[in-house]
Amino acid sequence: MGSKFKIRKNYLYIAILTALLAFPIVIQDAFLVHIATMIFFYALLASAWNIIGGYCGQFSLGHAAFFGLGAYTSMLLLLYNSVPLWAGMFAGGLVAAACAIMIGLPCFRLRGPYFTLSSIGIAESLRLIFLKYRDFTGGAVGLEIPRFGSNPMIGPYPLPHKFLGDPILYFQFDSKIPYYYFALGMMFIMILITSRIARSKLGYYFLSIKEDQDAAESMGIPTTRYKLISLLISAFFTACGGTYYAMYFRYIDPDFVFALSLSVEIALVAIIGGLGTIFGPVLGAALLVPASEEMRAWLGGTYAGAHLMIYGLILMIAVIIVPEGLWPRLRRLIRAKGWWE
Amino acid sequence: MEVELIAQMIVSGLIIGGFYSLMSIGLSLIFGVTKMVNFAHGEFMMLGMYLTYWVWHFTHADPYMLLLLSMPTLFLFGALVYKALVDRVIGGIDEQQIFLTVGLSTFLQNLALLSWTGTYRTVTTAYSMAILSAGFVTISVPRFLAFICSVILSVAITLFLKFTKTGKAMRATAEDMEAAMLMGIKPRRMFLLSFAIGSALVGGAGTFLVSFYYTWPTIGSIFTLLCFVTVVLGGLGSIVGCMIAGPIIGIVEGLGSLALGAEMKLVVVYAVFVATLLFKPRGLMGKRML
Repeated sequence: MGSKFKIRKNYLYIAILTALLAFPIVIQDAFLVHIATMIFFYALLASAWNIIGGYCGQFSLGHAAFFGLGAYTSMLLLLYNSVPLWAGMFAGGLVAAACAIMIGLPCFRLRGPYFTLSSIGIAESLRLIFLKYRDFTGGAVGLEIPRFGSNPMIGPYPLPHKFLGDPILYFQFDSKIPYYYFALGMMFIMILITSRIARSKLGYYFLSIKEDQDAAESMGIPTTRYKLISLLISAFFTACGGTYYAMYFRYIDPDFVFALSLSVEIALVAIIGGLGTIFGPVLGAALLVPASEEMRAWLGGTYAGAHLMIYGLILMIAVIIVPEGLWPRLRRLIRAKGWWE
Repeated sequence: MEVELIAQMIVSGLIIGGFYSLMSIGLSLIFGVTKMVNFAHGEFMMLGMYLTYWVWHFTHADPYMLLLLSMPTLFLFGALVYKALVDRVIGGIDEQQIFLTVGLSTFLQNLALLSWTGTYRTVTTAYSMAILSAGFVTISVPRFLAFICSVILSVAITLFLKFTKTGKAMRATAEDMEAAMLMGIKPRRMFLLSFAIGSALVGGAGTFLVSFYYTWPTIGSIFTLLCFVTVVLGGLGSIVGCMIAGPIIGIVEGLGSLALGAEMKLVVVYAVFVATLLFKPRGLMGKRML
């Protein structure tokens, strides 16, 4: 084989980007566009998780807390104050970051499984709180985005404010294509940020904490502070993902957005792809999302729980067989064959 | 009236707390010896509950008799899980250990959902509705029985760890694995044993629980969270700590649900968890097993 197959990195990147930009225009199939959108969406969430889980080595099983806070903050701002969701996204990110400080401060001073346990606890607590205070949050019924533009408003939803905006300002479209580009853009930003962090001092601090906390501390790295910074970044972008979810599906409820299964799914994507790598979470999402959609379509209707059971099985097998994830394996293979310069 | 209600909550909390102790001891034992958190702990209990339920369903045997079935079965199941899965990641990197048991938990939950549907199931006995009353405080009989049996089992495991040779070997492994190896103890055998005993204990807890509570496929996740809080409050890896922390959690939970409503009791329990991390991160009894 040899040198014929060598590809210049930059050309490859440009080719992939062009293909992704052209995809929804060339492929007119709404389902395929939806799958691609979901891949970007999970890649975003898993990359955000990767910042704290992969680079810093602190495993959260409660990222649904940040996700749900992002979704609910922006949604409530929309419903009570008519703030467009894309603007509410930043508010959601800040609320999630505040929550991250609340989790991080008591846990990051300690070693051991405290952070993991605590993250599960806070997501579960938030779920119960959002279910309980239904006058404010809508409770188990959930919240729905009222529609305008060419869509009539669905359902008699009581709104304190009148909606004055237009569909463009409020980012509401009939077609899936704008959502596709929005998700692509968010994933792209996340990848850029991850690669920036990975090559900066910050990234090396994170890695040093992951590899050997004692050594990091003896080098003068304030480990608690850097774990917190890592969690803040991760929480912010996870919350942005939460707002995106609200924007795309136009409906949220506490039992989905704060679910433990969502936290596990996010972590699973990152682990299968490869912890502490830039493209690992993207690869994980590209493999798992279509697989899970397929499994849901095949098994979901007749066998409730079957696709999650297979998920659990995949997770167990993956951590035993490829604990470092698929991306590092793939990269080694490509380098060994000499396909990459 | 108010005082009576609070007294009732404290007594009920104490009773259910004894059960929480038993439920958490397995988790603490496994953590103490193997240094890994079993995130599927609640699912092991769920299996114990379903096992009890189904055998009761077909034979109508007394659930407390079924303890003789559920504990050995879960003992074998724990040993099997250790041999088939955990042994491959022990001493590996952290994320392997965490996500292996997380995967197992997801797997077991959905296996239960697939096999037995999401229906709520419970065991009813002649004494299910019976109540003991002492003054203005009342106690449900099945809960009281669960409390008594939990205390007996907890004391039994303590005596086992304290006085038998195997128990001492397990404690030695927990304290210093390398020193234990030098003394001729095979740590992997101790890991296997701790997993099996921990599973048996939580399986027994499941048998008690199903006689006064419902079981459904995802019940484990609620109780896993409760176990974490109990174990951290008692001190990760400490058995006596669990025995003290269980009733505290039970009482806090009772008073919390009185103050904020029953659906918020887990939130109150979680607040205890955060307070523990802030003020007494090593727990009430520290790391010592007994």
